[in-house]
Amino acid sequence: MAGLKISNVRKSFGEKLVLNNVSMHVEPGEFVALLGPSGCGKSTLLRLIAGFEGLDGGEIHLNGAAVSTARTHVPTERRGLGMVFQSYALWPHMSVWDNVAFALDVDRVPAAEKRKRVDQALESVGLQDYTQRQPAELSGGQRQRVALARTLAARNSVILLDEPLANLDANLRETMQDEFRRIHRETGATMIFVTHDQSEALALADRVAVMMDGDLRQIDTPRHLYNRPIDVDVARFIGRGSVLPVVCLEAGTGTAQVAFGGGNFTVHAPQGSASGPAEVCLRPENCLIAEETGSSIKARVVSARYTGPNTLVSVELCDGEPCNLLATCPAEVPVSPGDEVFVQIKEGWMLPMQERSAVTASI
Amino acid sequence: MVQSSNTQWARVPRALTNGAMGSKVLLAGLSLYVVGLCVVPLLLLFAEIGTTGLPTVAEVMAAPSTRLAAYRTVEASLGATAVSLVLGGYLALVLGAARPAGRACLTFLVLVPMLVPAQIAALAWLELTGPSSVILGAIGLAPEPGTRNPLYSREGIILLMGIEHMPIVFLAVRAGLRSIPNDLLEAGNLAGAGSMRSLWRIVFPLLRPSFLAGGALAFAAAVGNFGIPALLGIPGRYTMLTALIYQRLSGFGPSVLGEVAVLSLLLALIAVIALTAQGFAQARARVVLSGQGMPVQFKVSQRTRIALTVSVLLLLIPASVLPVFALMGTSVVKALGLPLTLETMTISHYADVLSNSTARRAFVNSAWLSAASAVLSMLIAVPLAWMMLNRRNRLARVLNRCADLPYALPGVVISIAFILAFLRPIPVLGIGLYGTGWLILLAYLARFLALSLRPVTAAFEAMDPALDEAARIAGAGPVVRMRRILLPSVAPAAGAGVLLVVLSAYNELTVSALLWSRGNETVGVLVFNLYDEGNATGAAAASVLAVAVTFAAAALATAIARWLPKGVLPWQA
Repeated sequence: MAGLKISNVRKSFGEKLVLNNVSMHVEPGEFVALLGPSGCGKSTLLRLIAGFEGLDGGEIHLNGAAVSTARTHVPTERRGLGMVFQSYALWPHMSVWDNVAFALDVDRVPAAEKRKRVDQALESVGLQDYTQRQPAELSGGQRQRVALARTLAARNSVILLDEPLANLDANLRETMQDEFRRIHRETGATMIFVTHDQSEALALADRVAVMMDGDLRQIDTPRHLYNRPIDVDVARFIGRGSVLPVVCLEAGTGTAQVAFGGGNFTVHAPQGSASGPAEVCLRPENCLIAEETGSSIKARVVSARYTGPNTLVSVELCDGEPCNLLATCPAEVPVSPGDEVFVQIKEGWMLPMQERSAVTASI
Repeated sequence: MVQSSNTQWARVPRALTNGAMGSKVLLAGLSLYVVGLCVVPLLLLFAEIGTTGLPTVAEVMAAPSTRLAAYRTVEASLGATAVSLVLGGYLALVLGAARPAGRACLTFLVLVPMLVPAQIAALAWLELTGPSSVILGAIGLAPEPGTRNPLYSREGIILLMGIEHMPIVFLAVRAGLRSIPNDLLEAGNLAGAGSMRSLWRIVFPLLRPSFLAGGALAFAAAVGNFGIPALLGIPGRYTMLTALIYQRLSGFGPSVLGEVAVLSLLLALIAVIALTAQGFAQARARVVLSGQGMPVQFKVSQRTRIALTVSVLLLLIPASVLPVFALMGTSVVKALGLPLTLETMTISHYADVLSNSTARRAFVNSAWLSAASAVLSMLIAVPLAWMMLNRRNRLARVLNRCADLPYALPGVVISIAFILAFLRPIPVLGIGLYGTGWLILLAYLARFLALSLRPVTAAFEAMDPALDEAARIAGAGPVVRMRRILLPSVAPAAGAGVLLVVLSAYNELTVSALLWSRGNETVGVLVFNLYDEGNATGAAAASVLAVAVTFAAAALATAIARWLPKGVLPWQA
C-alpha cells in the first residue's frame, strides 16, 4: 500500500516563504485533511506532492521512493497519483466516458478491461446513464462525480483532492462528503484532502493537519484537534474557541485547577503542566450563561446571535484582564447587549506551555 | 539521484533533459521563423537608408512632393479619424448600451466595412455617387453625365477612410463599455444624476482611453490605407504617401528603391507615433475598473429606443448597404449609365471575368496564397502561443511582439522591406524569389501571423491550467497531452485564426500591389487593374465575386463560433 512521507519540506515563491520545514507521515489508506486559512500553504503542499512544483529543500517519499528532493524531481506523469481538482478539470472536448477512460488509454489498458473499469467507476458514482454526455451538459455535482470516477477507474492508490467541494452548494456538499467517505472505505486509497472548511475536515478525515503561515501546526485526529489544540492559533481557528489567560494553581494528572478573576475551575491539561500563568481554550458550548454560582464569572453582553437551538453570546469578562468570550445561552432566556450575566465554565483545555516542538498533543 | 530500487522511476532524469531539449529546439525554430520573416526585412529597410546615404535622404525629405504627400497623409488621416470616432463611438454607445432590437444584425452591418476591402469599398462608393450610379439614377439624383465624381477629392477620401475604419473605433468603444459595470451608472442615478448627466459625467470619462485607443488605431490604419488613396486620390490629384510610393515604384522600378525606402520609413514613423499613443491609452485603460456584475446599460423608453434604432439604420444603410448594392447593380448592367431594368440586366460581365484567363488566374492565386499563409501561420501560431503561456517563456513573448510588427505597420512598408530583402537571390541558397508568387506568400506570412496568433493565444489563456495538470496526473507525457488535450482545446481558435487570415489575405491589395508580377496577380490587383483600364463593370463583377468569398468565410467562422473563445469574432455581440 502507498504511504506518503514528507520531511522538512521548504518552498518559497520569490521572497515569500510558503512552506517552512513541513513534515508529516501519512499511513497507507489514511484519509488526511490539510486545513488552514487561505494562503497558509496547504495547496502548495498538495502541488508539491503532485509534482507540479519543485521543492527548495526537504524530501517527499511516495511508496518509500523519493519523488521530490532538492536535486531530483519525478515528473507528475510518473507518480501514479489521482487528483480531483477544485475546477474539476474535465476535458471539455471529451465525453464523460472518454474523460474517465483517458488515464487507462495512456496506460494502454486492454480494451475489455478498460471498458469494465470505466463502467464500474461510473456506476460507483451513479453516472452510468450519463456516459455519452459532454461535461458542459452536466451540473456541478455531476461534474464532481466524473472527476472522482476518473481517479477510481485509474485505481490510484493515492488520491489528492484540492478543495473539491468549494464550488458546490451546501446540500450537495454534504451528499458529496458521504460519497467521499464511502469511496475511501471501499477503495482503501490514501486520500489527501485540501480544504479551508473545518467542519468538512473534521467530518471526513482520519487525521487533520492544521497549517498556518507555512507551518504545520498540528496533525491529529478530529477529536483531539478539537479538544486538545496545541496553541492559541489552532484553538481560535478550530471551533470558534476563546482563549482565556488564567493562573494555573495546581496541575494534576490530565487536569489542572486554574483561577480567573475571582473564580476558579478545573480544566483538562496536558501531562507535565506546571503552575503559573497559563492559557485555557474554551468552546462556546462549554461556557453557559447561567445563574450566579461560586465558580461563575461575571460578564457583560457585547452582542447576541440567535442560532436556533440556542443563542451564541459574545461577552466581555468583568473581572481580571479584559477578555472576550463566546458563550451559549438557552434560546428562551432573553439577552441583549449591555446585560450583566454570569458565565459558568463546564469544561476547558489548558494549552501546552512548552515551545512548539512536538506537533502532536496526543496524550 | 533517485535512491530507489524502483526501476520505473530510475529513468526520470534522462526523460527530463530530453523534454527540455525538445522544447529548446522548437523554440529555436520558431525564433528563426519569426525573426527571419517579421524583423529582418524591416531591419534591411533601415540598412537601405544607410547605403542610400544621407544626401539622398535629405533630398527626398526636402522634395515638395514628399512634403505635400506627408502633409496630406496626416491631414486626410486626421479627418478620417474624426469621422471614425463620431460614427464608431455613436454606434457603439447605441448598440452597446441602449440595446435596440436586432442588435446582432445591426452589429454585422457596422462591421461590413471591415469585410469589404478598401479598394472595393472605394469602387462601390464611386459606383454609388457617380453619374452612372444605378441607385441614384433610379431616383433621379445622379450627377449630370460628364461631371466629375465628387468623391475624387480630399473630402471624399476622408469620408471613405472614415467609414472604412469606423469598425475599429466601434470595437474599442464597445469593449470599453463592456468593462464598465452597471453599478456605476446606478450609483449615479441614486445620487440624482439623470441619464444624460450620467452619460456625460460617468460613462464618457471612463470611455476616454477606449476612444483614444480606437482613434489611434483608426489613424494608423488610415495612414497605411492604400486602396482609397489610390482609387480616389490619384484621379483626384490628392496624392498621399502610400499612393506616392506606389506611383514611384511602378513608374521607375527598383532603381528608385532607396528613395522609396525613405518614403516608407516616413510612413512607418507616422504610424508608429499613433501606435505609441495607443499603447499609452491601453496601459491607462487597464487600471480603470475592477467592478463586477452586468455591463453598463441605459434605461431608455420604448420610443427613444425606436428613434435610436432608426438613427442607426439611417447611418448604416448609406455606409454599409447602399455601396454594396451599387456595386452589384453596376456588375449586372449592360453598359454604364443605363438605368437598371430587366431589359438592361446581364450576367455577361461575370461570364467575361470568369472566362478571362488573367482573372481566373488571379482568383486561383489569391486562393492558394491565402490558404497557404493561413495554414502555415496556424502551424507556427499554435506552438508559439503554447510556449508563451504554458511555459511562461520570455523569449516566446518577445517573439509575439515581433509578430505584431508587420501587422501593425502599414502594408506598403512591409512590401518595400520584402522587395529589399529579396531583390537579390537569397545568399548561400542562391534562390531568387523576386518576381515570383513566393515573395507574396512570404510577405503574407509575415503580415498575417499576428491575426493567427491572437485567437490561439486567447484560447490558451482561457484554458484552465488544471486541464493540462489533470492529464499529467493521468500519466500523459508532453506529446500525448499536446495531441489529446491541448490541440483539441485550441482547435476552434486555430480554425478561427485560419479564417481570419483567409478573410484578410484573399482580398488583400496593399502588399500585392507592389509585389505582383505577370502571372502572379491577386484578386486585389485584378480589381485595381480592371478599374484602371476603365472596365468598371468588369471590376464590379470581380469585386462582387471577391466579396462573396469573404462573406462566405465570415459565415463559416460564425458557424463555428460556439466552440470559440469569447471575443475572437468581432461581429459576435
